Amino acid sequence: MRRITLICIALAALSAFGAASAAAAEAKAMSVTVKETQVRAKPSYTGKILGTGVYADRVQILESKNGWSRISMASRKLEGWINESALTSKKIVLSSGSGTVSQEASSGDVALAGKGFNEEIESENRKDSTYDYAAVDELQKITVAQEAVAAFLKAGGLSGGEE
Amino acid sequence: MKARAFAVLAAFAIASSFAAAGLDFGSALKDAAGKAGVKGEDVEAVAGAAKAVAKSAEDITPEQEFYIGRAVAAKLLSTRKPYVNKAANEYLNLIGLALANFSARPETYGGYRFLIIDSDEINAFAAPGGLVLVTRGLLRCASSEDAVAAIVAHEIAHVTGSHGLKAIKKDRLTKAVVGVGVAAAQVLGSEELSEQTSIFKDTIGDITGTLVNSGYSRDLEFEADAAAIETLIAAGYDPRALVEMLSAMKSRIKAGGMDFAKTHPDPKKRIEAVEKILKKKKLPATASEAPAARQARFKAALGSI
Repeated sequence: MRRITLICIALAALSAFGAASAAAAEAKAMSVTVKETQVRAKPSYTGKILGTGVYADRVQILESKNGWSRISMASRKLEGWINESALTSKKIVLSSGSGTVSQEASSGDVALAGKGFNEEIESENRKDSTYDYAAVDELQKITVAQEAVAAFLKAGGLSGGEE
Repeated sequence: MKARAFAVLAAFAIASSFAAAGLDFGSALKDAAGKAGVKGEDVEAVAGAAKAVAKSAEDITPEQEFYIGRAVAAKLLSTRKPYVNKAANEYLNLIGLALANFSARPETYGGYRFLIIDSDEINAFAAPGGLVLVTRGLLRCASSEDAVAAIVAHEIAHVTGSHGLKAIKKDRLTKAVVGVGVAAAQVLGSEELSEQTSIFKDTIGDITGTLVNSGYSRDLEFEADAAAIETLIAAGYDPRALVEMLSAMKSRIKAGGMDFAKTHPDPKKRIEAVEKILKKKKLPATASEAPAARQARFKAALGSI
């Protein structure tokens, strides 16, 4: 009898260990891949904004649901939901000019911020009068808050006023 | 010496098995080289050999896509005037952002923006990253908000599917992604800057040429229609509005015209493909009347477009 108890305890301990290691494996790290994204209290654009993540911020994934991931962002002391389209599994690093970083970058696991087509190329291209960047700057200024989008959906009898 | 040669060979063998499994060759090679006992400079040399791996449209970062998209829009807007009507443009942006939330990619690096172009042409352009231009002529084909949503959802699908980036010629991609000159250089020399800018212009030309002249492949257009249907349904719009919109466009576009007719498959073919998809969807037997509020705001914003 005592032996059975011992076996039971051992089994319980083993499965607990298994669950813990599975959870650890699931908490993978990702990077914010948009200029700016909101961290929300629930997995929906109607969720309250708790804070903002910016390009290259690292996050730990706690769980995923309906295209949203619950993350923790140690650097900003934030925990909440980010839309998955704003995250990438790649690590984004500002190019440091070191050889190792560029080698990792060519491997595809790392994306170098500001490489290739970047702000510097745009400012060079602005000198070309066959591009109307002023019109694009005007267009980029349009901002519509998610609250306005939610109200628009609701007033029009559309989905997602409340998700 | 023999042992080292064997180790390098072994590293290649291990790495190619990684590559066959769809894993990245460069890092796999480096790891494998390390595991097989290749040390120091040999590891670097082996990894360097994998550097030349060609880049594809998927390797373009969202940040690079943002700068490409801005340039594409800037090029298109150099010969096209925005329609100055705040209410109409705000309305279009609300529809667009509402749809984007229900698309495959709600967030892009710089976000979605929608703009009405002051032109009688029937046309729309989606620049990479989410800058979407729609002509007054196209909006005149719409008789409801759902019809406007149908064409906007189609344009968003070109963005989420990165169709614009797929128009970039292959031989430019690596330089677009990695950059020219010494890959690790933080600051480009004037010669490199001018070379990189020249590749940039050619890249923009690949995309605008496709948007304005040659058009996407029929497959990508059908793919965008299919994705638009999913987005419309998820957002609560009637996907049959896409058929209605295509029919209206069909009756208005002139064969051999410089607009939509030139760059898109025959609307009749698209309608057939769309109806095939709609048949499989559980939709109410007859199109439901859009709520009065929705029709009222459509009339107010675009009624006299």
